[in-house]
Amino acid sequence: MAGGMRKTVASLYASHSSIPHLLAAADRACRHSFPIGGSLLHARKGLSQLLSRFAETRCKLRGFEVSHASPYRISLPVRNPTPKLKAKAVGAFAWEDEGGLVFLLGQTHEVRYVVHELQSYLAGEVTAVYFRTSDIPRSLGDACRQDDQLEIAVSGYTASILQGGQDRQIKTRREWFTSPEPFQDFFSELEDETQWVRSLHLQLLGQASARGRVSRDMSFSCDMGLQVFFHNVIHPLARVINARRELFAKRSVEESPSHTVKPLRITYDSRLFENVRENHRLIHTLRKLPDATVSVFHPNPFLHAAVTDYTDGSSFTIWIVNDSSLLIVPGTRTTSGSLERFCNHVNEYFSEGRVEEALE
Amino acid sequence: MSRLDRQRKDHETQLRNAVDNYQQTVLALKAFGNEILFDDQTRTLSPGGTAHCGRKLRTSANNRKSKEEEQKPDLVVQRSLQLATIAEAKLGFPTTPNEFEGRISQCLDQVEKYDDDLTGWYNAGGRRGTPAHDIVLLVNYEDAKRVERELRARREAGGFVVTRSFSVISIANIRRAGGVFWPELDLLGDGRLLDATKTEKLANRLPIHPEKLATNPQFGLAELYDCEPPEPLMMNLVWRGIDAILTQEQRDAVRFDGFVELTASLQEVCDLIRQRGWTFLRHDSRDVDVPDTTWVSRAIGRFVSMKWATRVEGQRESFRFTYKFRRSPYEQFVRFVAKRRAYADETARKKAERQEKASHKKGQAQKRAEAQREATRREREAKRMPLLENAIRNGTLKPRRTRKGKAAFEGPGRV
Repeated sequence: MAGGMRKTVASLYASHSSIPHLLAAADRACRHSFPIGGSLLHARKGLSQLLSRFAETRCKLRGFEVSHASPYRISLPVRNPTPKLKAKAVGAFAWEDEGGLVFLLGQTHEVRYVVHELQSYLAGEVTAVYFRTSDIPRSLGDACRQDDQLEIAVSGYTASILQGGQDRQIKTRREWFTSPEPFQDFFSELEDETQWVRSLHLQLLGQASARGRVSRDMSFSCDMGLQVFFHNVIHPLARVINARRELFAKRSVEESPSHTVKPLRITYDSRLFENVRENHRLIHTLRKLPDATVSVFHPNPFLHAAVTDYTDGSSFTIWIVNDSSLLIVPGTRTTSGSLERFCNHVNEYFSEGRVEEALE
Repeated sequence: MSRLDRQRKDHETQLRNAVDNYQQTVLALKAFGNEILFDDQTRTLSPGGTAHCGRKLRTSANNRKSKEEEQKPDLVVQRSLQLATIAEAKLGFPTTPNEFEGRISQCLDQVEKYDDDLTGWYNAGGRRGTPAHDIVLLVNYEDAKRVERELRARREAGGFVVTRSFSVISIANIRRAGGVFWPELDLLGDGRLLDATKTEKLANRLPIHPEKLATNPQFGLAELYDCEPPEPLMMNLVWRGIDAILTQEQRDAVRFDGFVELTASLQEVCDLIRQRGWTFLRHDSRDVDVPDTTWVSRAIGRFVSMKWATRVEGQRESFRFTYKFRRSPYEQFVRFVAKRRAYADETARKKAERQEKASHKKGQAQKRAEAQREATRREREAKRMPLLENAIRNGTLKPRRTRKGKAAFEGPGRV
């Protein structure tokens, strides 16, 4: 590693008094082709409460360490080094925004490792957040409206596509464009087909350029212009996600103000459940939900199933109420993280629909 | 497929159908109860209205069928001080004529018991009064027409007398035009309720929306009513209840150590199920306690057989559960119970076979012994007859008739 780059990387790993300093250091590292990435999570009781759990036995034994002030530097030893992860210890920076989302930033592979270990050791406390296809054009549009000179184009994407007649299947489509397409054109073409985005490669042009990738679970990486990418893509997307997260809150008997449940619905534009085989495809998809179990009482013609989420003990019931929607009835205890995880699983692996109130 | 496998598959199918029937019954009771509690003018649930599952009501001394005895209808809905509805759910009638008629007679007996000045209504806040009440029979769509026809015939023949408003309401899963597809309540024939608006609504078929039922504070999440559910369903509720009380530390223990052990008594498990909202709200001591401890005890007994739980030594109703994050526990319960029943059937069949063989052998042996005795008797008789005839010819024996007219011989000694 050249001396200049060594200094740049060192400045990234040094402590930072503020988030702009951290982002500037990361941006410099990015310019030197150092792979910078990040992720977005939700801490159920807040970041400081989450980090205080590092003092507990299991986390302590695992070797979680954290610095004292925000942005916090989380570090932990690597159990099984891989070619991509050769270091003995990895780390990532974490801070919380005003909406309650936790941002993580650092070297791409290290951040991924830290997120994985956080979700293993603190399951139920920290949950992933997800974007929906419709969130992206909205947030990118907001960013472009704030900066007239900004142009955002899609240079590649991965999407799921629902194909087939009677027996439908999910196929993965990956495409890279020789010349990037403006995001408005890209998303209007996407609407015409039954596709939903899993990851996007974006190029930003304007006063400063940027290039990066963002995935459905809000993990991202950047190889040019981190600050520009962060402020014009990640931050607006985080705002949209945060606004939508309210939909999942306080739906169970325990949390709801009226102490009665507030059901949710996933609605599709087409009459998806007209074909009874879609019920079975949904059951097959639900059974793949990690850290959860599904009890199917009645598979067809209407579906009635119960889901128990092992990460935090949430439980809810699923009904197919008509040909174009799926009803989710929370139980006595159902957390927002669990509902969001379930909805994303259905959206990502079955078919993407609109999550909305069941009772208007 | 072996005979045992076939039996196991049959039992699995029967169990799934039984679970389905049970849940349809719960859905029917909830749907009907919600509709009766719904005020069509304010478009909300009637404040002060209550729904009771298995409430103990007492018949009067004038009851035609059962004098001064306690009855427990499946559902009692008290919309106000003046108006109530009693519903009995009978989903699933036999197909054979004799059994069908027997079942109908049972239903009608129950209905006639409810046709009385019943006492034991819920009196919240000390309010007094005996409401006027309807009687409703909830049946499956498939059985509805048959049942309604039979009831009408019996009523016309005078074999079934009800003085109060009585109706048969069916619950069916009907695909409607436009793709909406959901269970509906349908009031059949010329049945009626005291509330004419409700009668009309139900006669026009009422679609049931689970999202609306779920928000009912008295039974929105109920999965049990006053009848023991099929074993896999009860086991599933117990397992989900245990999962719900795990602390985060216990979950971490399961995640990292593979399992965690926790102890709970029978009563604690019953309380757990109630706390999760899986039963109708119990308003007072006249409402039946659901689930019954025997149901839960049987379910936990199955867990012990599956080695998912053990009994705590020295404490009869205390159990130690070995909790793990299991894949599809409900499916495992169905398969386990089906397998046990198939084995029980097979054991019973083999025992019956052995007994039949044994009795067949015994019968054969008896027949052989009988035949042997008969042969011996004939042989002796055959030997005896010629000697007798010679003695008569020689004059050694003289035949005579006894006073009773029987043949006898006079002469020295036996022949």
